[in-house]
Amino acid sequence: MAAILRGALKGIKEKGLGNFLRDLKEEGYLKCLADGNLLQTKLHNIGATLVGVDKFGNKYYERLGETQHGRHRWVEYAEKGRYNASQVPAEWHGWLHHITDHTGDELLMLKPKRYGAEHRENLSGEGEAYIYHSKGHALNPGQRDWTRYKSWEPAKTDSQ
Amino acid sequence: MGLGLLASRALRPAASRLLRYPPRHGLARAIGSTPERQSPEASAAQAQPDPAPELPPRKPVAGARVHLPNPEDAIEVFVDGYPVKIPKGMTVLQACEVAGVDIPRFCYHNRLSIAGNCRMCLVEVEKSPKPVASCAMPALPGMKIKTDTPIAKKAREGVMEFLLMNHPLDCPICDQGGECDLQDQSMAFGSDRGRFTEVKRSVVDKNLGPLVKTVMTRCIQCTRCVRFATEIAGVQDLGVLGRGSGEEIGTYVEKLMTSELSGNVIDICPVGALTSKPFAFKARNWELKGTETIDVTDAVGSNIRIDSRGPEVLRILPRLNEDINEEWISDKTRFCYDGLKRQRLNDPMIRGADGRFQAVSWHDALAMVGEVIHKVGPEEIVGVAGKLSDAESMMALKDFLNRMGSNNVMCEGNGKHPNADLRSGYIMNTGIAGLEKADVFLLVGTQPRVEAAMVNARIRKTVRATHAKVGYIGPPTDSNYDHEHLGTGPQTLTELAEGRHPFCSTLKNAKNPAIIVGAGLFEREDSDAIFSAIETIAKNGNVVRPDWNGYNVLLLHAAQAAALDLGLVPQSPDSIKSAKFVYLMGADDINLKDIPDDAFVVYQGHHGDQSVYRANVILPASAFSEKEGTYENTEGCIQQTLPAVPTVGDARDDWKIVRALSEVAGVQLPYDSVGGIRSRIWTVAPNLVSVDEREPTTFSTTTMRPNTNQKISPNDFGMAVENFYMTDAITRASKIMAQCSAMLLKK
Amino acid sequence: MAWRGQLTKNLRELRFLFCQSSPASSSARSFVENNYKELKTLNPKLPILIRECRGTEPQLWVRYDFGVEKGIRLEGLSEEQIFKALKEFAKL
Repeated sequence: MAAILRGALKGIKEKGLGNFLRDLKEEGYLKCLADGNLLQTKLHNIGATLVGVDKFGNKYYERLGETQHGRHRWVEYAEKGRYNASQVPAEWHGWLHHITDHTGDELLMLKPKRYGAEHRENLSGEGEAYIYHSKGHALNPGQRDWTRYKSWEPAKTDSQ
Repeated sequence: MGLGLLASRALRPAASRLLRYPPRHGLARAIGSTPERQSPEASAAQAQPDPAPELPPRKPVAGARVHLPNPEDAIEVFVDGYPVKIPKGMTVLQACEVAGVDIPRFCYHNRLSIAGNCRMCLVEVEKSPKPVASCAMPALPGMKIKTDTPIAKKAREGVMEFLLMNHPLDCPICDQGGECDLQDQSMAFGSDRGRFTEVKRSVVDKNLGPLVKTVMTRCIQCTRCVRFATEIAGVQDLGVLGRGSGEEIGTYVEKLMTSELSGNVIDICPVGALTSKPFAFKARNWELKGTETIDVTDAVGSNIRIDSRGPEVLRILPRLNEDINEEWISDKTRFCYDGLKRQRLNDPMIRGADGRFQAVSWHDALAMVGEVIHKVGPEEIVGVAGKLSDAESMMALKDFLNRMGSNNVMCEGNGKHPNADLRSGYIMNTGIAGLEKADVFLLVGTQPRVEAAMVNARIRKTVRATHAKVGYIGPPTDSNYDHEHLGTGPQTLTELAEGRHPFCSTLKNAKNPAIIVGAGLFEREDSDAIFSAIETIAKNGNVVRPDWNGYNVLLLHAAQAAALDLGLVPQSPDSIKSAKFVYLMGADDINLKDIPDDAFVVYQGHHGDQSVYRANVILPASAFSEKEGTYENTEGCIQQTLPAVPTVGDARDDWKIVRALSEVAGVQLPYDSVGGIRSRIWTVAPNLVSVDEREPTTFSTTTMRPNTNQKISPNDFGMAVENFYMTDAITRASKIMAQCSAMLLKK
Repeated sequence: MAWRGQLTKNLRELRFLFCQSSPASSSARSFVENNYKELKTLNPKLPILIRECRGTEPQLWVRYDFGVEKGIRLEGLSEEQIFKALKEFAKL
């Protein structure tokens, strides 16, 4: 508690009040008021070690020691508002879910360079522009013409 | 084809079909009590032995009829204990077919010569040390044939096992799956397991052209394709090379199968070795709906079955018709279907002032045509029916234009002065099946190989069977039977007519001479003179007699015979040159330069082929696979097409368009249903109403035609069909036909 | 019989329908057999269609301008009667 206060005062002194408050907002502390999960994560971050950051900005923390088993590894998402579990890329997934001890930085080396695709979060329900529809689907803006015949197109040269 | 009936018959237990007990009288009985126990008299009556169980009557396979040419000469043999009378000379397999027992076979085909190399037809014959190949063994009187004994079954299982030893595991990717003889017969007659643990052999694939796909590893060397190519197609392309397990069927040299009947080997091959290349991997046979219709790419009217899935036609197969096409169809018939998917007209269009076409509604298009047709005089209206038009639409067109005052309705291909008076002057009077009875053929200006491939196959069959003589007048062509090239033009005709040519004696000595005249001669200016010369030849050679009329005209297009029957004869031959309103109903092969520049042209058809470019209004109609139409083939047999797929876009039936147009133009036709049109046709040409019938003609042109003073021009006869693969709108739109004409035509 | 050469003045098409073998059509058949050649030689431009079909009643149809058609049954008519009917048709 005292350490938090001391850190805050230090921050205000270094950056100035306006910047400090702006940083707070960016870090998501403002959203904590409405989002209890984020508040709990922030609280849990106290005393935790930052293991790594992935390219999306998700921060991965670990606190061994007296922490309850199962709560010793967690992620704080970069997107403080709309976050969901599919934003964790594959290389950090194993570490986060206690499958392996290799962190994402190590596992990123193993990603195949030639054909390894970029990680995308699950966009279901996020809006028509993001959802995949097949070429014949009614909601696909570029819907293909599946008629099984080709109608006659007059050749470009007009003859009388 | 599949032997589903065979399989079910084999799987059903034998006992259940034999004995049937006479029905008992007395409906209500006490349980445990029977009439015998109730009274002593009843039990005494019941004690007599039942009469010997009668064998149920057996019908021949597929309901075929057996023809005994001399009833005294019939032999009796016993098939599975059942006595059956067969003509002398039949094989054991045919005797079993008459008795209703279908014996499995791979290499035997009833239209090809006997090979006897697959050994699947082995049956047990009493007093024979080993099972005999029933397809090759002639049935002797009193033979006892047993087809369901353990020996016969063991033989079949063994043969099946051997055949499957080197056969690849291709069923999931093989096009013949579902209609494969090997699959069906192994289910019905094979054993459930094999004992083969070695490595299977494989064979390199042969390139036979753009039509036949070969996977020669699947070949079981039944040699059906080899025999078909040698005997029926007349080209000795295929042969068997090597021996034993190294046997390969192929052309040995890098040769494509250029014969016009090459697609039939696809039907003949019992396994998936020879399949249809355009149909490869498109569908399985159980997904397809078969519709029995008639082919219209030439005048033969081969019976076909169109297999379709949903709105598209996926393949065309032949149907059995002994009189016309037996079991074969030409390549053009078989592979033209992809032209039905390209260049289709689907909306009515009007050509705007800028020369570009614009799609409009039917209402507007018909209103425009109705308006324009009233602005021209009656003698300036001309109607031309196309090659693929059916009788109903031609009748509607003729009636409509007659009511507008025009007498100039004609059909493509009939020439400027068609003589539609006597039917015997424009149909094949012997009939296609009747050609088999002829012993001398005189082909005048016709190349049946490209004009009507099935007629050519029939001529070849006759020449092969009876060594008939064939004389041919026309440009040099190659044909698949021996013929004497008598000349190239009308000089030979005049020589024959005057008796100076050596071939005259052949004609005179013939028992049944047949003269086949090509319809290409209709287009000549001196057609009357040519035909009268031919009639003289016919008279001198005794070609037309009460019992035999050998004077035949081989037509080129499916619509010609019906057009001439309906009387589509123009009043003035050059009416097109002075026309102001031209109605083209599918007519793509007229000379568009003849149409004056200020004429208003309406094109009603299904493909945007050639005449659309000159049209002012386009009315989309349905193609032959989408309508029910009546067609008359070159021998006068009336047949009907049935719709296999729905029409494309906004297209309608041809006769319906003309009927609607007549109403808009104010001269409403008195019929508005198919029945109505058929009743109208019945008053014009009643033979067009009797479907699947052929009306023989009464009067021959040799006696009835008035003399003509025309002079024969010295021009040689030309080829009516330049490119066999591209003859009408559908084939010209087809990619497969384009490939064929690029690769398979002889240069 | 000069009118026989004038048929094309009013008629556009002539049709004879009959059965090939029935006795009712025998007069129609013999009429056509005897007179077709002459009629056609006199009127080479007129389509005289002979259409036979089993089971058809013998009929004579003529077509005028504008699609108007008239027909009669030829059952039991003799040759002169058929000629008379034809002449009547041609007058109109």
